[in-house]
Amino acid sequence: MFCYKKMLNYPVNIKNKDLKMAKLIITQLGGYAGELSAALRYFCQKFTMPDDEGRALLNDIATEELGHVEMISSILHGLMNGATKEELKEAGLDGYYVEHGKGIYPLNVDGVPYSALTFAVTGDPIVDLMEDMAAEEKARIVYERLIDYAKTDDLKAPLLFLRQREVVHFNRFKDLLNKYKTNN
Amino acid sequence: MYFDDLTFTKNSDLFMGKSININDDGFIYGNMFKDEYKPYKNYSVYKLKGKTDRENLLIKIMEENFIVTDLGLYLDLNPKDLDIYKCFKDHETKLREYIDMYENKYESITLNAKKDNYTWENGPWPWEVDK
Repeated sequence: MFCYKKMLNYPVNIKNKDLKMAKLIITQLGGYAGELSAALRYFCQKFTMPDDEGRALLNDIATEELGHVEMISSILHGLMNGATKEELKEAGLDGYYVEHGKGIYPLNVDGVPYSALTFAVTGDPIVDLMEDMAAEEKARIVYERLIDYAKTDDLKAPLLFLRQREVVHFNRFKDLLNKYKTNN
Repeated sequence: MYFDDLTFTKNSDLFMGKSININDDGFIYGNMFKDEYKPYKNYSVYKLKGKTDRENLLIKIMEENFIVTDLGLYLDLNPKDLDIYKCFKDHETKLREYIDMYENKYESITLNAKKDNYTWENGPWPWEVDK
């Protein structure tokens, strides 16, 4: 089960609206390298991990990623805060506004709604872990490009934090993969 | 609102503390392990400072929660590493203490906070903003 704590993994305090950044960052919610995809990928894969270490790691990273979904969503909420419908139109978000208002809806950067086709579950721990390492790398590179576009510290700080978590998760998945390869 | 006006100060000091592998400031780096930290270009990490005692206690809770989470991932695969486990336990204790301290003074962080009345619905919720 899950137990909610009324806090984020890392503080989010967006001070100014920035609709152009919102339009880009939304892909880390609903895109192929997004946090929702990450959370579901590891959550679904944990059922076929072969030992306690694997079950624990996939379970715990999936849980952390769900927290990152909330972080990214909070960033988006902050970036859209106070925006008028004219400003949303100017930023190319009029279509988004018509359907979703200023609600948070998972889309990729091209406006395609989130799809579970962004990840795979093969039931094979070696293959799944290789997918997981690739996923962390894909998310890292997307965060790096978002950081390049970010102008203010209140946005760079949480993006840098989330990017570093991709580095850490990659290493943990690699450790587990190496263990399985050695044992086989 | 959850944070009024958090201060993000660039931290040019890359000193990561005394112990061999553990970064004492791991929270702001997003990584508890010194030898695994990968900076991006020349971006620095940020020191975080809240405006009120409440905000600063909240940041400390997030920090302890992070340490327990990150060391936990490592311990999932290395449960017999007693040095890391000791560190994990110390921070786990601190996390509980800080949450108790916070819930005594401010709103609930956990549903099972010790309160006289049901106040879980009270904000600020983490995504709440001012305007």
